[in-house]
Amino acid sequence: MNLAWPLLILLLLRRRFPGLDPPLVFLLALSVLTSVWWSIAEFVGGTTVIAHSSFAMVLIAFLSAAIILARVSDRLAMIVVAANAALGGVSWVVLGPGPYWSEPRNNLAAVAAVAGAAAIVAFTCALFRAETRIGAGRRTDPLENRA
Amino acid sequence: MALAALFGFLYLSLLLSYVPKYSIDVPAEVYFEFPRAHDQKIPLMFAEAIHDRLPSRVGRDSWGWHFSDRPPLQAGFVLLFSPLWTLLARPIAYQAIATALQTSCLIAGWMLLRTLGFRYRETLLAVVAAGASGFLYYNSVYAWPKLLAATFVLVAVAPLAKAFLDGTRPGPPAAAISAAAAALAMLAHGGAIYSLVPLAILLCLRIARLFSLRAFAIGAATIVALYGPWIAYGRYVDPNTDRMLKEHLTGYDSPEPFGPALLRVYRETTAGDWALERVHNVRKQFRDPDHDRLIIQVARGVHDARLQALTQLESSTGIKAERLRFDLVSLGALLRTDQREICSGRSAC
Repeated sequence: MNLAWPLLILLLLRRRFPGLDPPLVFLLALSVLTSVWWSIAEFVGGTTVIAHSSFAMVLIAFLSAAIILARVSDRLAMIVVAANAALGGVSWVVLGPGPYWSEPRNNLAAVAAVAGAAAIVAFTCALFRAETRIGAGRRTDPLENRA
Repeated sequence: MALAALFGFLYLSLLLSYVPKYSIDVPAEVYFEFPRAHDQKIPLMFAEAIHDRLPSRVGRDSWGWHFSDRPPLQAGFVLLFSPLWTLLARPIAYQAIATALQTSCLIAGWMLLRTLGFRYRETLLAVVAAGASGFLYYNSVYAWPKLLAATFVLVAVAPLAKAFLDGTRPGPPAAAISAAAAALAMLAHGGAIYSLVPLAILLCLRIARLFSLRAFAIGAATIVALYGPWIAYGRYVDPNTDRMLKEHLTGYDSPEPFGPALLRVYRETTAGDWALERVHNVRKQFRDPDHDRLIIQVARGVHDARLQALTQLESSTGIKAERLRFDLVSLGALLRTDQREICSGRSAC
């Protein structure tokens, strides 16, 4: 997802919508300001580890990064999101949990997890398809009118 | 909301699949080679202490902490759903509620993005991206209430940011909603203050045009009404020593009250040292050279067996040096530690 930050330059140079519009600038400014304020407030240097942070900052930065990618290219955004999900799956599920991995597991829960992941993929695809159909009929999202 | 529910279901299923029998300690012990602090179960302990009227609901525990050192919102939700305890074991009921509460940040994220006018497609992609990240997964099952606090921060941001961007004044209802959400964020986790202060600073750029006196008064009254009782609880019912504040804002716990402790540490620090520490803090958000070196060492060793002998493995947070090997399992443990403990700038990736 960090690919989004260098690609932000493309949005800066883009004049037409959707570029770097005020809502995105607001979210980015809030993230940067939070990062600076956090660095000032934590008294001891080097203690700005994620466990001490405001997770709102991380979430807003993450959402902003995904939006930047989507504005640069829908296809690129989907590839990066899928790759990021795969990396998360590998590092958090496949390669872990380290000390317990060889123990017996709850197979029913594992099946439920696979079903849950499949349901998320199917639901997301259905929402994307529905939005594409509606978008094609309507041509624009009503909220885009403000641009 | 359906997406958030599905992600919550996925997270819980994954967590439960790791062990044949669930216990409340699993989220703290299962993901790393070295068990993490069991902070995720404190809301349940607090709720149980109140529900069962245990003497330990007030006073210091054996580690010197009071329940009033940590905000109570998640414990409150657990108590709200305590009738479930007759149907399910407390740990699993708690885990389900706590994970559901953390995944509510996806709903708040959706609401924020749509309120600010982001396109449906962008919003959907952003929310799915967040839900599919290891960061959200881990912090939803290791359910310390930080994502719950983030939920309310995002709710607080939405109407104010909308008014800020549109150049309009939020009416009293919007001011009350934002103020209530800000107070609830602080009642979920004190770390929310790191986002709420910058939000207030941003809003100050247009404060005269943004707030009427009436809306401001309603917001302030809402915050006092919601957050005041918790302050009073920490002063009069279970008096604490502001240990959390002191550890973060002065560097360590000390017997003196927070105010004098803060003044003392700043008096004892030179401007140069203070500035250097700030730079260190900024750097730490994006890089931890020791941990990065360790990841690179192991990755190189995995890639090329000849490089394994040239490196020296060291311990790191969440890592046991003696367990560390030049293999993918160790590399996975290092990557998880990186997202859990180290750099917020990379946490979501």
